[in-house]
Amino acid sequence: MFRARLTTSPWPLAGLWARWGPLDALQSARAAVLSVLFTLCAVLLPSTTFAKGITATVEADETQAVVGDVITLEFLVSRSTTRGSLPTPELPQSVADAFDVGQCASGTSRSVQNINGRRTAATTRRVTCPLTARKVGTFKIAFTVPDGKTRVASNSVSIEVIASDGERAPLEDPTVEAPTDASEDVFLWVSTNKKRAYVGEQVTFRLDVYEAQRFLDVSLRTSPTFEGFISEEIPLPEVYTTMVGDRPFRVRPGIRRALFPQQSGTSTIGASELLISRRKRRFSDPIALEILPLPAEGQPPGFSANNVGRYQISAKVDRDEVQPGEPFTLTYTVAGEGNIELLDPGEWAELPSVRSYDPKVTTERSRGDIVGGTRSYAFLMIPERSGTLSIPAHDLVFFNPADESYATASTSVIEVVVGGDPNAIVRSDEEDQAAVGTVVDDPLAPVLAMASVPRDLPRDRWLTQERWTMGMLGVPLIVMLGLAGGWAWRRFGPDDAARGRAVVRARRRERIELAQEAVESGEGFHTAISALLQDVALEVAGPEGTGLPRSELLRLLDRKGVEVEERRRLESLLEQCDVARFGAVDGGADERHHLLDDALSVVRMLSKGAA
Amino acid sequence: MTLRSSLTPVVFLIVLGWSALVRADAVDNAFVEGTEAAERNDWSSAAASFETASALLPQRSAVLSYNLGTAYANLGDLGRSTYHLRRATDWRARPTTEILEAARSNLAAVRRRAELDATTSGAMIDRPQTTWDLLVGAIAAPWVAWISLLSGLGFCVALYVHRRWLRIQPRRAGASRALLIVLALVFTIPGGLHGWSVRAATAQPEAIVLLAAVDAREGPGQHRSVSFTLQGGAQVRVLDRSPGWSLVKLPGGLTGWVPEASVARLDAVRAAGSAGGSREGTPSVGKRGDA
Repeated sequence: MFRARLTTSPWPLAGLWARWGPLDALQSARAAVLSVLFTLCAVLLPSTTFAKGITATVEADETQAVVGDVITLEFLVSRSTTRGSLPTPELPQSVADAFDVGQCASGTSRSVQNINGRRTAATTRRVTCPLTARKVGTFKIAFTVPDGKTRVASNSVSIEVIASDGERAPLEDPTVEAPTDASEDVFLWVSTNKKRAYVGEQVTFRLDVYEAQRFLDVSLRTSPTFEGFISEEIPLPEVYTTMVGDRPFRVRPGIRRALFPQQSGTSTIGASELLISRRKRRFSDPIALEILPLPAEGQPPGFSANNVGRYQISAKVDRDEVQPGEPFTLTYTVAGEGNIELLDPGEWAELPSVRSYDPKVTTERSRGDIVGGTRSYAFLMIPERSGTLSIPAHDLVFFNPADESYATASTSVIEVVVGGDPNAIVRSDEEDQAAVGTVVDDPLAPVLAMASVPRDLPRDRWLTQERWTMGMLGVPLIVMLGLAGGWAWRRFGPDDAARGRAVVRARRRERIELAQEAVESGEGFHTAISALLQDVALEVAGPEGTGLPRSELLRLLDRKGVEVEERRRLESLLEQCDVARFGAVDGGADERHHLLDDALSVVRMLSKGAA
Repeated sequence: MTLRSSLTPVVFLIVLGWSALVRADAVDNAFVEGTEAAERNDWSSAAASFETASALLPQRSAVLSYNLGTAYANLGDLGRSTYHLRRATDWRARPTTEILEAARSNLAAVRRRAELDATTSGAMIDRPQTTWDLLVGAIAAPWVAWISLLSGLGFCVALYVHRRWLRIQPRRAGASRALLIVLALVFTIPGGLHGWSVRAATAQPEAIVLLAAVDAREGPGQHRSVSFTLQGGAQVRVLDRSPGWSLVKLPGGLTGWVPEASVARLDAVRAAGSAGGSREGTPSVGKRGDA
């Protein structure tokens, strides 16, 4: 920086000029000496920081890493001016040898500051590179940038890269289920329930992730290897919290496996790798197990190494009385702890005079840390002769690692009574094979012989599904309509007075029709007219007019407000009718027509008045 | 009216009657041939003759279905045997008591063999028919429809009489009220069950697996993976159809797509395989069943 000031800014010379003023010879000599001294100092000073004002710096986010870890290096090149471009940093070859350099990102920033009248400016180029550690060792990282004819070197950063897992020693005691102290915030912990086991004996492997704080991005990058084992997954427990030393840790169960060693000797469960935030890695320790061979003492010939555990066996039949040729099912069920799916049940006894088919095997695994369950072998058996069929006991030999001895589980003898004729011959296997698909075992009823096929011509049934549906829906509809109609009739139907009026109207219509029919012949005409007028008068007079003589009735009509003219016309018409009925005067059809018209007119007037 | 015009309908009627007569004879001849072949234990010829008779007969025949089913049972064709014997027991075929008993006996024997085959091969088969299945089948019969409908109509009439009776003898309405309740119960319970049964039979018709073993697949197509294998003679319900494929369901709930020709619906008027008498015949589509 100082050197840059000397060479690029006039300010130092101006200061000297102001300090010493016009130069005389001595002063010129002093100035020359000072300039030389300054120049020498500038040359001799470390070039890392004072090369034309360019500075180079390198920074790393981690100083220790495991092989495979990603380290972020930041290279900074800056100069105290905003003019011109900055050189690009160049990495030394040693970095490329020890690390995989990822995609670098670069950017340039410029800044200008004005403090108390003093203006300062700076330009910075920032290059960020991810480096993946590839080699074990300690590496010093620095870089250089060109600055004119010289090169400016940066500071150096020391990074120590350690081995991942290849050189890790197996755990001394893998049976320790939980750590007692923790040096890191997140780590893996592996354990087994035993460090010595027999071939075929279950060893339970556990892998847990311990987190002092919640890491959002933690994943198991590499699972442990189980070479030499048959492994079965077992259920994982829930996440829980525990104290490690004096710190609380959240424990995430990662792997639970039931391992069944397949060979004696030392079998190693490989290390697994945990990836944290896609950059940091943690490794678990491998586990070495001592696998013992099954003891030769007491071992039956042909013993399967998978028959290790603790088992029971039972047998049952679905029916104990059958007929010859009738199938029944014989089921052997093995239950216990061990790798039951690979269990060798041994040779099944062959029963004489019984056809049997390959068993249908079903397995039900139990859920828990100890692998086990039940395994059933269902045989379909068809006895061919009657008698008592004795199914012998079946022995299952297994090695019990708890007792370190061989044991035998046996079924009980089962007897099945086969009924029918003891001398009946049932087909042999060869005959049966030849007859498969051609003959049905059970006797069949014969075909029916008839001279002709009975015919019932197909008729369309009257009660089709549609009609039935309509009828079924119609019944409640009819009931509802009937009930609603009854209710409406009761609610809105006529009362006694209305019914009485209706009767009167009907009778009046009847008399009018009678009169109209008799108007030509005259027979009964006047009687009908008289009765019609009498009815109308009574209707107007009301109940009190009933039984009154005509004169009283007319007076009552007067009291009821009937006009005089109407009363007179009524009286006149009634008298005409009386004359015609009881006298001998009949004016002929024309007169009867007039009389009918007058009577109807009076009826209309009186009815209107009554209404 | 000329002689020609008056003779034309007579000739037409004679030809029509002769055609029917000839057809009837062909059915009888084929049936008798089948019976004679069965007596000789020539079950292939018997089945072929009965198929011919079945193809010529325009309606269901219990005895023909029974003989056909028995012939197939003797041939070991459990699927077709089950199918025809089931048709023989169907009320629409009007089986006599003798046919019904014989068909049920043979059906039981075929069923045992099918169960045995299913057990040995691992194929799936429906559970045996239970009393409940028989009850459901009986509920779908037309006499239940008549009873429920007449009960409904009787209820309407009885309700009207009951209300009139109430006006005359209000204190003696107990008997008519009891009659009303009985009629209402008969109308609703058997009627509802009959409707449900017919609806189920129409929406998901019953079918029988014809071939010895049929792969039920996850979808309609040979490229789809096999879900399970159906035993010949298994009774299924047809849920859906796709061109050439049927989605079938076992009573237990297992569903899968099978080739359409491998199953035959029981409600079809014409028997499966009757067209041309081929054992691989495509089952015909049945019309809507009667109530």
